[in-house]
Amino acid sequence: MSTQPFKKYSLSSLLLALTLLLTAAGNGRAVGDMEELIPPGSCGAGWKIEGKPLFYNRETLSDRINGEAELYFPYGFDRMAAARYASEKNPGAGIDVEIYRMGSLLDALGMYANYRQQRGQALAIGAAANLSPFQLFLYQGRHFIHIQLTGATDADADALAACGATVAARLPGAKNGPPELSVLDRPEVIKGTERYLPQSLLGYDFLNKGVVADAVVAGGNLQLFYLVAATDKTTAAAFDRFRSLVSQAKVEPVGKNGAFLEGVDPLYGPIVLIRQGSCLAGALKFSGKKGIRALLESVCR
Amino acid sequence: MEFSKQKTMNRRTFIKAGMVGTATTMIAPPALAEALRKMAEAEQSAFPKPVYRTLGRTGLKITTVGFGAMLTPEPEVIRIAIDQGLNYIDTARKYMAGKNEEIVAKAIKEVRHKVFIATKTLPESKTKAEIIRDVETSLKALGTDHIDVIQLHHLTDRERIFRADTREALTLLKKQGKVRFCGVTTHKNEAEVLNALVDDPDRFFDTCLVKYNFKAEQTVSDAIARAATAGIGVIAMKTQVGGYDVKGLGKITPHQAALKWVLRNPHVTAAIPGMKDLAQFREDIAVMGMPYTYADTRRLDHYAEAIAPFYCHFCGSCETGCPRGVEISTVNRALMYAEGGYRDLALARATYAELPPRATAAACVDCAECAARCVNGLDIAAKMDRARMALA
Repeated sequence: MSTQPFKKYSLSSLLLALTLLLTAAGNGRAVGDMEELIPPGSCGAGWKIEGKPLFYNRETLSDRINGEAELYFPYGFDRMAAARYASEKNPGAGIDVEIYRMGSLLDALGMYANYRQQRGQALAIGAAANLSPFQLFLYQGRHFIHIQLTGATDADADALAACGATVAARLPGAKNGPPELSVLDRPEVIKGTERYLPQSLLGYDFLNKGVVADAVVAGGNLQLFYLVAATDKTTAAAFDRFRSLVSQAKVEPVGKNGAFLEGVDPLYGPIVLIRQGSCLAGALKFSGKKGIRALLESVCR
Repeated sequence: MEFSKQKTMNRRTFIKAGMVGTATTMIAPPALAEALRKMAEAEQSAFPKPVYRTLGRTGLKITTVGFGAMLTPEPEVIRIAIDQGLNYIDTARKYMAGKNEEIVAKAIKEVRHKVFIATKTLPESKTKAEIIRDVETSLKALGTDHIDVIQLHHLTDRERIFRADTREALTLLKKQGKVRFCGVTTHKNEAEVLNALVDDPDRFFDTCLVKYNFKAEQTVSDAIARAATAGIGVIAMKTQVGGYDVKGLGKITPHQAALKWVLRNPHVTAAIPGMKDLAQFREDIAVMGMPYTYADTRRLDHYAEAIAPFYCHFCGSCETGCPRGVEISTVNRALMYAEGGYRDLALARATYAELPPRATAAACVDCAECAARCVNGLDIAAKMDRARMALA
């Protein structure tokens, strides 16, 4: 019969597909496990993978990093993949790679900035990378990566950088920073000081989703901040809360839907704040006010 | 009455009070600082006075609410706590990969003498060289010449308590004046760790930072009592149970009640709730001196009840009883994202979608009666029904 070979072929295909499906289901892997992001054999020359990668979610992250897990949740953490690479030359030395999938590119930058070391060296890996003697931090797309050298008494910057580049090559997402930070592309802002906080900006629970960065205006240092993803309503509410908080408040209207505030904040001292529609920006920790208003207006423009 | 005074304290009072110390020492010119001081003086007494207990045999008099700095991004928040009398700050070498110690350093600059600093070596550090390296690094990061309490981080059993090389390093650091007292921290097998500290004939460690909250087992409470009686200073962490956003639970605000529950135990010297912002600081500091009341018990009961329908321990015990092979714990986890404090339907659906079709709650429709049983009494059939409706 002409249909017999076809039947035989389709039956064997079905069995093969079923076997593959059961195998995939049986080994516990699931789509989105991030296993594909872990370098499979080595992470740089001389560092071979040891054991199997480990995976963590919101419920289990604290099993690995204890209470520090809480730092990740406001940034939309949903999964982490970890692997250890052992040194072929130095017994006991290892490189621990942790890849965290955060809520967004901005969230990944936020985590990176939380860990970025002030004395660290900037490297051209991913969207940004920061190297210190025993650690490398980087982010790319919505992933934040922590690479740690362990069991070694001597630093090995080359090994960390090589491993970082290997990991970054496997990450999805472009090597650019979040668009919410484009407003900081100006000469006054000190590069590498930007931070994103999804909650409690400046330690105030009414300021959520904001960016802070250091700047130099008219020769004086200050800290600049502004809200992201804000609306007219949320900036108006935040502005009013600020006004009730500061002493010696002087407020003047700006256009139809804005205001400018000067006063003394209980935590930071003198502060200036501008609201224009859905933009709320401010400056603090300054010694003189010259040029600050113009900077804030340009941030809100 | 002290309690009623605390209740009537408003935000403005708090801000004024907080403004004084911070402004005088950090930011304001002298005239302004003096004006602020006078402005706040009248109401200063309304702010809760610090309450102290002695940290075991260390003899340190510390406030019953200390500052857990792990999640605090701004040093100014820690600084205002110091200005208000909190005198115990807890950080760790590991937190934010060392950056948290730098944040604490900014907060204690010029007021180091007012606070006791507790930090921790890296969890993986065990040898003499590693312990010394960690302490030296912490001293540098904290900008201080001594650490009041150095703690071995995250002990899960007895083994590290008795390591000779660890003790050798700590003894040397004590002799050098770089550390004053030694302790350990534990949030797993807490009773075993506490009991090992007591069983140690050398009584080498002086303090224990331990996970302890209103859901703690009696064995942990017993071990805390035994340790405190033996002179070990006990500090509680993870006091708020954590993880669950209470905004969706109406008027239930269990955080102060949870903290009071811990501090009513006289064997606990202090608690170190993590404080990210001024609102949390205000909520926590107000607990000092407050009595634990029947109303608190009710609040905690309500809180426990409120989270109970969502509170799957993900132990997987129920899955052995399911003839269809439904991955019940994963379905419950997805459901928790949707219904619990997370309220994140997108995450819930994404988690659910990761399950193979045969392991989802869809398989339950073929069963007339659910054969899976939860050891904690959760209604699994009802949860699978809700998951199927909400997440498919």
